[in-house]
Amino acid sequence: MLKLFIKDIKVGAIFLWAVVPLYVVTALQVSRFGAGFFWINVTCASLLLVAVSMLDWKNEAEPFVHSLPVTRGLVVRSRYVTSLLVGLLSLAIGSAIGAARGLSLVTRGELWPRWVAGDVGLAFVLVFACIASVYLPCYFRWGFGKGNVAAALVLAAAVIVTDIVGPDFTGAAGAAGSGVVHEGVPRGQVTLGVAHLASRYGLAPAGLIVLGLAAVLLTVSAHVAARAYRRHEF
Amino acid sequence: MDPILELRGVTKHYEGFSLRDVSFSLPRGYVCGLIGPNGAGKTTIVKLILGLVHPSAGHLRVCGEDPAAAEIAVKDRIGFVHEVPSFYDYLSIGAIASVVRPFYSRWDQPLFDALAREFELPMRKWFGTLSRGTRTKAALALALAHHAELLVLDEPTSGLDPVFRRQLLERLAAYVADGQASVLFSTHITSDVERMADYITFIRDGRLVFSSTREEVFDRWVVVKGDPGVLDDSARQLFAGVEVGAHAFTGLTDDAPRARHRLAGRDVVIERATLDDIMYYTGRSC
Repeated sequence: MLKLFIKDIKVGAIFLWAVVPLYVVTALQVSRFGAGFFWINVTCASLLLVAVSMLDWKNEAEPFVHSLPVTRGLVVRSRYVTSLLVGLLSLAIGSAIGAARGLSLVTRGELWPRWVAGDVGLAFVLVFACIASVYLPCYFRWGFGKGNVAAALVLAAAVIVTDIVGPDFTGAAGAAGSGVVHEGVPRGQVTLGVAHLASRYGLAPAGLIVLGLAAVLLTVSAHVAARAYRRHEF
Repeated sequence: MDPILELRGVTKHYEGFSLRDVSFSLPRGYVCGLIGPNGAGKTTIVKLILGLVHPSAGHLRVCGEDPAAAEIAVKDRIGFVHEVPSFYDYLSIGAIASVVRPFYSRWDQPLFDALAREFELPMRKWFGTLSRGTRTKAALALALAHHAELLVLDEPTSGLDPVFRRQLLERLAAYVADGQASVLFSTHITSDVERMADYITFIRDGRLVFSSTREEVFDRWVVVKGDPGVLDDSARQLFAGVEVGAHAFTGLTDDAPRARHRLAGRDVVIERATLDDIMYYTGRSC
């Protein structure tokens, strides 16, 4: 699995020189507008996730990869590890830029922005885990084109459902999902939910819960993806 | 000694095409040419061996093992060249080698470097900018550099210039000379097979026509040419395929002694069939 992970890194490394500066510049610009910064980071991380799969698809490299001494299960698991790296890289870039923006605000006498905080970082981890958990099984089941469409539809449905039922779990039901329960937290039921969890139990326990939830999601998803990919043919 | 490759009743169904009940084996130390017209099922067999597709029925053994049960161990001992070698177009050959190297337990970097020099590979050029022939050379260098026991080559000589084609065939012959490695290569360039294959496996419409040593093939298969008047019902039964013109017929049979006996004294010419003859006439209406 490590060999495939390193393969993904080597194959994708050339693009990091183009993608990361673009990501940084975009994130820097968006960080002027506060809470929207979170969702830009989620978008960039998701695009990076899709881009890793696109490299294999665009280059028609799958027959080559699967002719190497690998199994389909290893290919799936290594892609999840690569996705973790993509998530961590995005979190690191987002955190660094967010912290830089926060510092610049503080030096101008303003308050530290609420959208640069530990619970928001945890929310990013959970949102990204949800996206990867949906995207990767769709990709391994239906390939790059149909898989992307399927994943987008599932995620869109998930957003609608969480908007409907989410306020009951995040404590925002009384505020009609307006996102004002935790002032300044990026909008969305997951971010509000994590903020609610952190304020209720503390950041460290909330972190454990979120990381545990993300791990369960990714593990179940990897199992589904591996099953879907087992009979895949090239 | 166990054959290095064995297919027993292998069947693969696709929509609109089926490979049916294919059985043949390849001993260690030999070259097998897999021939057949386009769409016969040659690439499907290659994909089955590499585990890229799953058989609908039947069994494969590669290097003495079931590739489905010991996929990594088996693939570690196979070198492959696909019909259209596709790697990452934006990587150089050197970068691709560095990607491939960790996967093989017996990767030999000095050997790869020597092959790259011998094949005059432009190590810094992007793979996507290379000609088909150079891509095939690169794929071949990668396949040879890890001391594979079985080389599986899908149309390796297509797109190669005649000089390198000859070099490639000589290299493959040398590769099996120690009796430990074998080569299976599919092709529709029958002259390559006639030149160097020890075994010939002929697939047509998804079915195995024959799998024999080269000597057996050329001893058994003959082409009979003569006046159409010779073609009575009993004579027609001799042929696996026949083409009748206005003034002459050409028939193909895999039973040379019987043909010589039955047609003795008739106005016919019997000559050894080439692989082109076999591919062309097999299945022609009798």
